This record gives sequence, structure tokens and C-alpha cells, in this order.
Amino acid sequence: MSDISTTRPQAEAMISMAGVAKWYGAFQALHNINITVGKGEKIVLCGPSGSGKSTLIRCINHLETYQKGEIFVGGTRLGHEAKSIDAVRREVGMVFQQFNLFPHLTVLENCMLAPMRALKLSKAEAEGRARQLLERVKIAEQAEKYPAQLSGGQQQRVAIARALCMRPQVMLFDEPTSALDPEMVKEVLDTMIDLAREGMTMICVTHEMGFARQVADRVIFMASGAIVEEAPPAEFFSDPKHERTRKFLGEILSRH
Amino acid sequence: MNYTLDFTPVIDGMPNLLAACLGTFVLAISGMMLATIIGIGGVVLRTSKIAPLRWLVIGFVEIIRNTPFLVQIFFIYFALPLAGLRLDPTPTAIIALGINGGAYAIEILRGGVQSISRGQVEAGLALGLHKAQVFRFIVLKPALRAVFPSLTSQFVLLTLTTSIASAISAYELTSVSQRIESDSFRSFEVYFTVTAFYLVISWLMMRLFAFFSARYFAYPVK
Amino acid sequence: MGPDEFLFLLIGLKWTVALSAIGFVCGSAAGLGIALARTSGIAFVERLTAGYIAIFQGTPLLMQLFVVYYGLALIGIKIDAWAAVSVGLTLHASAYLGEIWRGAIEAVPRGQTEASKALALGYISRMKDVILPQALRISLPATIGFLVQLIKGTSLASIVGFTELTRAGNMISNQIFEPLTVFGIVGILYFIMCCPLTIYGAHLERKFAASTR
Repeated sequence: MSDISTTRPQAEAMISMAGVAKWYGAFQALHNINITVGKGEKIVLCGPSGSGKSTLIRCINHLETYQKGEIFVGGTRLGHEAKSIDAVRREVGMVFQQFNLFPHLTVLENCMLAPMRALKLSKAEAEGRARQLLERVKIAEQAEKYPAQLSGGQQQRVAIARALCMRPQVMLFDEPTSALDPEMVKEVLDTMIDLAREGMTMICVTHEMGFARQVADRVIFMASGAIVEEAPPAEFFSDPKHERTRKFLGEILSRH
Repeated sequence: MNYTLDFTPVIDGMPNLLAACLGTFVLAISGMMLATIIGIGGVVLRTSKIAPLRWLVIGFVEIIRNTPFLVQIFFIYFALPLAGLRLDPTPTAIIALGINGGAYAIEILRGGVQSISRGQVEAGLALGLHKAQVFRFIVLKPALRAVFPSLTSQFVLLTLTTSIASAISAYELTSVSQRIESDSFRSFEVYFTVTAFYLVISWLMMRLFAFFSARYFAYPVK
Repeated sequence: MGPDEFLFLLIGLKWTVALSAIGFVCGSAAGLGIALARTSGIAFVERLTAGYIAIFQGTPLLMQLFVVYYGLALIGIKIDAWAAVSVGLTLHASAYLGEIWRGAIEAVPRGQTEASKALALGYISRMKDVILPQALRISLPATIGFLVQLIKGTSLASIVGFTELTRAGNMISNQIFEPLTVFGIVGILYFIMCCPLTIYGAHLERKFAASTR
């Protein structure tokens, strides 16, 4: 059962994808994707590798282009022109599998860069915001260090803080724990759970089914670039409708 | 075989030679700065979406890399006045050095930019930065660091190349030493001494780059 | 510019090719010695050759040509400008090639030396049959890169007074007062010599990078 969002999210859609399709040359990577994510809703996206789940969330902030369909983020239509892409990227934070912290900047500077350059905040404002969010991910004491001096789990928490410094309305997580050593997975998941409790709208590509049970409002299962099944976690795990979902769950749950 | 070495003209000319060393430094440092600007600008154009711009840069780099600096400096020396730019030999030499070094810098920096992972760029874009900001604040410094050893040896080579600017009588060590040589006919003594000066100059240049690198690239990497 | 002038440039070009060839062939022979000395394992010899390389890599080729030119005269060897320049280019090339090949010899995996020793190969056979063939392959792109540098470097012979391509261009330019045409053509002639080598070197480098991946 979803123990976090006691009330169902409002009808107000934070993200909606309608008929989105994407091709790499002749290969179709996404087929007719329709998703609506309400404000404060938490979605877990799962599926076998190559199923298109990363591609899907990367379309939401236009790191991938798509050829068909429409995407709306917070009421803004994401077109292919720079203006709407900018507007959307300022509202959407992303956390990557490989952290992608900037190695030449300190933890603090990593968090200050985009607020100063993209939001034109003053240095003092950006620093205040950065320190506050580093505090929130419990890593404030590492602010002056460089990424290479931190563990993987610490780096990923900094990456979360860095994204939050833009005060995004939506957070996208692209397999945030896949590159971590097992002992560091929990600290990152705990940070994500805290964030979910605070009401952030989240879409997480992850295979952490415990996280999905605890946090997700809905679990979406993808295969071969299409959405196969979509259900609240209790139903998804106890009563999967499709054969492919059952097979996937069988594999993933036996591994854990 | 009964030639006796006589360093008197060299010693008499020492103040001039030392001042000329400074001239060489000025030439080299200015040339490097121009080369760096051309290098960075060239890399941006070289990775542009507009194909003719890329071809232009490739053509420029190949023309410069496959012709001697001496021919380039003559060409520029005669071409600039035709383009309405009447400059003294020294600024002309700086332009020639910058163009020559810039072509090599483009190729070196391109390697550096390619060494930066796609994820770095994507992280910057996802944070709402523009492409130019991503290049300036995220890609440039790690890219420079990655190729700094090659850049250092290329710029030491540029420092040594300044001696060729004597061909258009720019103010630097070689042309001053040629004047002392032609006044005194103590050719070997003069050129031997000046060669030693160059050895010191290129050593100093390397120290300078090492110092700069230790300061500017002081962040740890895994 | 008429055909006579162009012919004069071609004569200069012939000397540029000759100087490049002499410098490269003699420089290679001497450079091989430098590379072997530099990796000999004898501390004194290694330091001596390291100093030799540092001197040539830390001073301008133009100065090297001057010092050799006037230095040879000083010790009583009266030779033509072209011979003096050849000696200068040879020394210059030996230092650069020596350094390139030292790097290549050291890039051959240590196990190759150990395996050769285990097979009771002597130093000469070990180098000739095992290490150098591999080192040569590794060094080929850099060696070709240096050959291009050397061809361009021969232009400095003009400053010493030897009539190769650049000096021929200078003379024609002073005669017909069309410096841009003349130096443009001179540049094209150098380009025709160097560009195929540059492309071939880059091709080898890519091939090598692909095969070690």
C-alpha cells in the first residue's frame, strides 16, 4: 500500500504525454506513450533493459527528441524550440545513473552553477539555497569537497541536491541507484523517500521494488518501447495482469 | 684551427640580449593567448551543426599544419597591408604565431572536448543551462585539463618558433643576436650563447605551465 | 608569374626534398642509436642522451642550424651551406626521433623483454627481432608526424642562405613583386608534400587505436 500519499493526487496534471513516439532511424524506440502524472504523484517506471524507460523520461526534459505526440510539463507545451525547452528544463530536475557531478567544481559550486547561470540568482542567494539543500540531503559538511573525494552514495545525494537547487516542480530519476555499491543504495533511497514525503512530483526509473511498494502511487511497466501495464503498487505486485509483467517480476524479485 | 673564442661582443651586447629575451617572452605569450582564443573559437566552430563552418575550420587547420611557419609569416607579412592593416613587424609576428599555434590548439582542444563524457553535457542541459553555458562552465576546464600536457609542449614549440619571426625583423632574441653577430663577426660565440638563452626560456615556459596547471587544475579526479 | 619562375621554384623544391630525405634518413640512423642509448639501462648513458634530447627540444631549429653552421667552420671544417644544413637537420632529427622511439620502446609490454630473455635471446636479437619491430609499429604515426615537421623545418635553410623552396620563393618574389602569388604557390607546394603524409599518419593512428581497443 502507498503509505505516503494519503490523499489521491489532484486532477491537475503536472506532466502529460499524449501519443508520444520516437524512432532511432528505422528502429521505433517508443510506441504511442500516454501518461498523465498529477501534482505530487510518484510514478515508478520499470521494465527490462532496452524497454525504453530511460528514453521516455529523457523525452520529458528534451534530452531526447521525439517525432510524434505531445508533452506538457506544468502547463507548458514542450516543443522543439529553445524557448519551451528552457522553460521546461527549469521546472524539471534530473538525477542520472552516473551522477554526472562536475569534477572541477566543489560540491557547493556544483549546486550553485545552474541557479546563478540559468536563474540569474545572486551568488549569495545561490549559496544560501545550496547550503540549505545540502543540509536537507545530510551532506552539508562536504560542501567544500570535490566530487572525486566523495563516495558514490554521497555523490548521488549531492546530485539530488543540485537538481533541487533549481526548485523544480518535477524530479526525474534515471536508475539513480544502479551504479552504486549495495551498501550505498539505502542512503540514496532514503533521500528519495524524504523527498516523496515532502510532496515532490517524481518519476523514477528503478528496479528497487521495495521503494516502489513504499512510495509509488502507480507503477508503470514497459516493454519494447510501449507501456504494458499500469497499476497501484499493491495491485501491480500482487495481481499483475500481463504475462510479460509476471515474467519480469518473477525475475526481478527472485534476484532480491 | 687556431681560432680563439672571444665572447667580448656577447658580453658587451648582454643588456641588448637580455632585453630581447623579454621581447621573445612578449611575442610568445601574446602568440599563445591569440592561439588559445583561436583554438577555443575553432573548436566551437569545428563542432558546429553547420557543415560549411566545420569544413572551413578543417581546411584552416590542415593548411596551417602542412606548410612551414616561415612561409606563413611571409604571406601574412605581405597580406596584411593589402587587407588595409599596416602593422609593425612585431604585431605581425604575433598574429602569425597566433594563427599557427591556433591551428594546433584547435586539434588538441578538440581531443579534450571529445574526452568529456556525454553525461556531463546532459547534466548541464538538464539543469537548464544553454549549450554555450555548458561549454563555458562545464566542458572547457576539464577538457583543457585533459590535454594540458599536449598543449604545454605545443606552446613550448610556439616559444621556439618565435625565433623565425626574425625573418621579418620582429623584436625578439634571434633578430637582436643577428645584429650583434653581423657587427662583430663572432657568429659562433653569439649563437652559442643565444641557444643557451633559449634553453632557459623554454625551461621557464615549462615551469610557468606547470605552475599554472597546479593552480588552475587543482581538483582531484578519480 | 611565368613558367621560368615556376621552374625555378621546382628546382628549389627538389632541394627541399633532398634536404628532407637526408635529414630523415641520417636522423633515423642516429635517432635509433639515441633511442637505444636512452633505454640502455646504463644510468650515465641514459642521462647523457636525455640531456642531448632536452637541448634539441628546448632550442629553436634555426639556432641549431646557426650553431652547427658556424661551429663546423670554427673547428676547421669548411663545407657548403647544404652540407652544414644537412648536419644540422640530422642532429635535430636524431634527437626528436630518438625521443619518439624511446617512448615506443618503453611502450612495448615488459613481458616481451622477459619472454625474450627467458628464451635466451641476446640483446641484439631481442631488440632486432622482438622489441624494435613492435616499437616501430607503435611509433609510426608520431614518426610520420615528425617527418612533416622536418620537411617544414627545411625551410629554415633559406635563412642560412641555402636555396631551397622557400628561398627560391623569396628570390622570385623580390624579382616580380608578387609576394602573395609566389608564397601562395610555395605554400601549396609544401602542402602537396606534407598533406598526404599527415593524412596517412592520422589513418595509421586511427587504425592503431582501433586495434588496441
